[in-house]
Amino acid sequence: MENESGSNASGRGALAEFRDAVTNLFDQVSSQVTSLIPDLGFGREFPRHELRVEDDGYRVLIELPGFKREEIDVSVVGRTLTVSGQRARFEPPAGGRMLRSERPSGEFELTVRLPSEVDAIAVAAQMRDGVLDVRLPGSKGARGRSVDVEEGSENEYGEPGAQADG
Amino acid sequence: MDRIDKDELREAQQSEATREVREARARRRRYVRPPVDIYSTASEMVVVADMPGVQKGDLDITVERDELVIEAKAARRAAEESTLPWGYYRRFRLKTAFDRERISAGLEDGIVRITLPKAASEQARKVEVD
Repeated sequence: MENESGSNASGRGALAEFRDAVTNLFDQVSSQVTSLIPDLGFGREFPRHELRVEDDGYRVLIELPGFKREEIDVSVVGRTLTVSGQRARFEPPAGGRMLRSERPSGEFELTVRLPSEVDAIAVAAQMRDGVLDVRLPGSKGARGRSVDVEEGSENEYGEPGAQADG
Repeated sequence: MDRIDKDELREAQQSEATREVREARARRRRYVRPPVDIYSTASEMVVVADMPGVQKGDLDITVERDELVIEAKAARRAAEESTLPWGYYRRFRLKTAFDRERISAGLEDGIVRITLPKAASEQARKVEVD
């Protein structure tokens, strides 16, 4: 439950207090109480993910709890990683009554723009603890370009170690 | 001997951990409130929570008085300074009597499933109502 408007009140102190207040809220397990988190299905914030820059390319971690490998589609075209999939809405067993239904369900599609090209053939994905771990090694062409930039900057700004202000 | 001493120390620290300490830890900025599905049948209540990145040893579920507390850290993420949540925390007030001895929890693919069997008295009452 992030609330961006909290920061408009009176700076970080108020936001921290608000955060504590939210954390301290008791959840009332009762069919009468509706959820504080509206059931929006897969919103824009799903799935939570992270792009990491590593020595040999990129790594994208995507939170997909409960997803089976066959329910996820991963593709790389140019500098764009696309991950899509679907998760069925949770259904209680016969005779069961839902008290809360917050976990998102339905279809999602996540697009991640990579900073540079990768070797699409070498892309590998692995599911672990409900997190999809996609490793995207940089393409040989991309590595060559980065070396060229280093050489070019030396020529342009003079000898290594020379003072720019001098 | 050294290892035993350390283990004993850890146990002592855990037993001394008060609710305040646990809550303070859980309020850490990088913890989030996991979304849950909850259903109830005549005999049990089941809580299903999305907690990706959590491994079995990092899950801490407690029931004290009328309170169910779910807490877990995603240990690897803190070490890697990840922007993803470093843990999860949520608590619920229970309005039904449960058989605390038989409460069980499982973790699979980042999903935590907690089964709280209803106390015999609650089940009897439910049968009468039905």
